[in-house]
Amino acid sequence: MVVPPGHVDFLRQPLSFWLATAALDNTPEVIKCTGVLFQPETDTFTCFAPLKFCRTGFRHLEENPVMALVGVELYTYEGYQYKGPYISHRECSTGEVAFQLAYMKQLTDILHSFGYSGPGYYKAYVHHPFVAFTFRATQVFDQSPKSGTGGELAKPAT
Amino acid sequence: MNRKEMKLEEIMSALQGVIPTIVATSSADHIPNVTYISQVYYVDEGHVALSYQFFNKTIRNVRENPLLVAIVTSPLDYKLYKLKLLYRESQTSGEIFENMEIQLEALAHVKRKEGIFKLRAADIYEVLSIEEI
Repeated sequence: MVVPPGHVDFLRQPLSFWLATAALDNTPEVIKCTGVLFQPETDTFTCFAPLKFCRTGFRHLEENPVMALVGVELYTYEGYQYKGPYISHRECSTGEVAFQLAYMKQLTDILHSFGYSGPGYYKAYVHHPFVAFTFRATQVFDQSPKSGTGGELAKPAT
Repeated sequence: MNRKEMKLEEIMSALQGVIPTIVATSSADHIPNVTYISQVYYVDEGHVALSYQFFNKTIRNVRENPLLVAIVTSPLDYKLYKLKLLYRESQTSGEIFENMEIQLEALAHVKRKEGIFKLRAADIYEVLSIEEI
């Protein structure tokens, strides 16, 4: 396992999630992520995203199957980045769509409490249909805003 | 999806730092990196400056592979814009640096994060393309 056990609860929160891919010519791409499910037994992430944000990412993953995911807690800015090999993608199930809509509602409620427009944020990011990417984390990095951020976390003892 | 050619002046509301910017880079060996930054600062019609505070891997990546993609959000209508940028230089003094430092201090005050928003450099990027997503 590479993801610290404490991250299981951290990742269940309504974090702000974004994915990234890279082409073989090193052009990066960002994909807005509308929810994440983490399987600690296998260090595997299932990351949901609206299909409309994924076209370039699909092309990148065909030639360079590597993904990065950042998740940031909106009150404290505590954040981590997970990187590793892409496994697959597929259409989301009805249950997974419901999960994303509930997640986005929680996230927009938090943003609304900061003074942002909850409906505006929801409208910007919630677009049907959705897809689910799966990748396995092999590295974890601290992304919290502090001196020394970006460092790789030590792998938990097994 | 809107593919029309856009100008920086059309997306000024998204460059005020109200909503944090997402940036992605790639290392020379094709490993993506994604993180948040506080500010994208308008320099002129063809350039922006990104705040270099502590996002070390992003900084290392753009020194070896100068392409960067940033997602900025307008707080007025929540429109999202993808900026494809090319790193040009890093400035640690001068008008751009000083203006960014002032804006960053103001943002830090609003977000109650004084002390962690210290600007190390203003990284200047050429804007290759802007796309509404």
